[in-house]
Amino acid sequence: MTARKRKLISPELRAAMLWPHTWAGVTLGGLLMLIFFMGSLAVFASEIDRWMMPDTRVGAVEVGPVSLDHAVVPVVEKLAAGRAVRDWFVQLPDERRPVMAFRVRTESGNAAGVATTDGTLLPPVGTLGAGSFFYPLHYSLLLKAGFVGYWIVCFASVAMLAGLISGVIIHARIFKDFFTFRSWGQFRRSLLDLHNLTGVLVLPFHLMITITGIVIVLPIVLPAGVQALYGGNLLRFYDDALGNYSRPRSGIAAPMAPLDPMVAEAKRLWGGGEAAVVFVYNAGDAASVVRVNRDTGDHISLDVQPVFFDGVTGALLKYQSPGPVVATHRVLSGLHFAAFEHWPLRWLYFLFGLAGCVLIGTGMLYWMEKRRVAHGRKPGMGWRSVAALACGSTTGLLIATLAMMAANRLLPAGIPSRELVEVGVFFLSWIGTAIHAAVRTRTDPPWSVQCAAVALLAAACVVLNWITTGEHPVRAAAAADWAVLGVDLVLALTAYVAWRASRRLVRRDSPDLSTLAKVTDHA
Amino acid sequence: MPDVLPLPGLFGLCYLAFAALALTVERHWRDLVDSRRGPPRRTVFRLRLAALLCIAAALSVAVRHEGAGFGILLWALALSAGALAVSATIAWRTRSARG
Repeated sequence: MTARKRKLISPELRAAMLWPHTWAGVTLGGLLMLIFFMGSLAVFASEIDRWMMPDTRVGAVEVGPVSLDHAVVPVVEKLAAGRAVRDWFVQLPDERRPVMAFRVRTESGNAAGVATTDGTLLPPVGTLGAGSFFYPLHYSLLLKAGFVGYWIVCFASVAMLAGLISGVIIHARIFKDFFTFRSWGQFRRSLLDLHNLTGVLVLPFHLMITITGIVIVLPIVLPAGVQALYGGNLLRFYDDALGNYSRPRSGIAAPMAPLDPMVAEAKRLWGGGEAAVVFVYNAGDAASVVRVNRDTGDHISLDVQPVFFDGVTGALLKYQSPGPVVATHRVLSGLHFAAFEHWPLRWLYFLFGLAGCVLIGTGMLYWMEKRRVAHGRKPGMGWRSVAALACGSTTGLLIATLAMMAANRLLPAGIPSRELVEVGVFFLSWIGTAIHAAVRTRTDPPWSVQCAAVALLAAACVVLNWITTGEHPVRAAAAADWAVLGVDLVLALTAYVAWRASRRLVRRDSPDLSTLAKVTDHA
Repeated sequence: MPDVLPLPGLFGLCYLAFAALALTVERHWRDLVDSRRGPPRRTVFRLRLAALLCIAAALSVAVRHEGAGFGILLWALALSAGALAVSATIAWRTRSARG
């Protein structure tokens, strides 16, 4: 070659990409870790819910047609307990949730409950579980007021996107060292290898999941269109875009038409498929509306194809297929939600979500190891803050999650606001681990102690589930209760891996500063 | 494509494709095949062709078995899984050599 091969990525470009990559990682790494971890758990929310709500482990039911008029409406009346019902909805049973879930809004307060397919109301579950706690934590950080949480998560997602792309540019050598993971020798090099591997090999999934995550909340974070066309009224926008229908209460009482024929008509309109959710708005009113959502388990798109009926006459009010933009939005949302019935894909989503956690975690660890070079044996305040943050958002988050699951099995069923006590356990133990990490970080965060805590808690969860419900893994396998078996096995695996990690960390020598001075690798 | 075990077949094809691609990387060729010299040009070309064929075959298996939507999604994610499995294999094979 006569001329020197022109470099695709100039040093200037790399330097320009490096500082936002580093800063985004160091400042938002903990938050992104929370989002990715809770998102991974949300993939198996139904299974974790079965584990956390033992009363709903009623075994596989024949998912036949549930009679709404005979099994559902009496439960709604029981939940209302004499109060006038305003609106209610029921989630019909499916393969992963063998029970019906109810939400009822009455003139004085709300009620929620779970019932078997034959209409027997089960005792209160007493927990928010994965579906109502881990999952909302993933997309809104439980800060729903003013959509603050959505904005923060969306901001972090955009930073993630920038981090993914800039990472490929910074670590340009990854293409020369493709597939390389040197687990031996220098710790820092192993970290960087793992960071690059998960960053590049799982890049398609991470790009997809981050972009679709942002797309889902676009109407909230890019409100200009809704502002201009609907005066900022998100509900009216959804009415139009998603084919929803709503009308105000008339104030005139009127009896409800039977619901089963409406579901049958909806199925005819869909040309197959099952009903997933039935909503009744303005119940017992002349302006009552019944909405029937389709189960989306058999396709990627999250289009629930809602069919609206007049609650009094049973006549069809609205059934509109979405326009091209909305249909695209539904497909992208469906890619993110993974609500489809597809076990291999569900496991891949779970594992690649955890790969995202590895990517973020190794990034933070690598930054810490690099900075040791500059700080020597006495790291400064900044380094220690990031170290404590990294510890609190990895092992600390695991401890908080496992503590909540252990509390779920330990707390007696009858105590008031049991679900809030569980949430309290989650946040208090999380804060506890963060304080512990901040106090104990000298040359290293207290990794081995916290790993040991993870191992003990995970093992305790399996044992507690056995003691309190009598369902040990062998019995779960015999009863084909795959949800409980799966959660138990993942917990046991977590305990084993965390214990091994903790033992190894104890044996590890304190960082050898003579090798730290040698600048290896790049970035 | 026969209808036996489409899922292991899909992951197997993805694994083979990335194994072939990994051998075209000089570092891995030297570690696993010939430590004296890098892969010959013709071999690199053949390996890349084989990888391409495996990836195409994997896509065809996935789409035939799962339909277009789920098939393409599963194929794209299976590619990542295959690549991760290949790097795990390489790490395991070369670890014993280097200690």
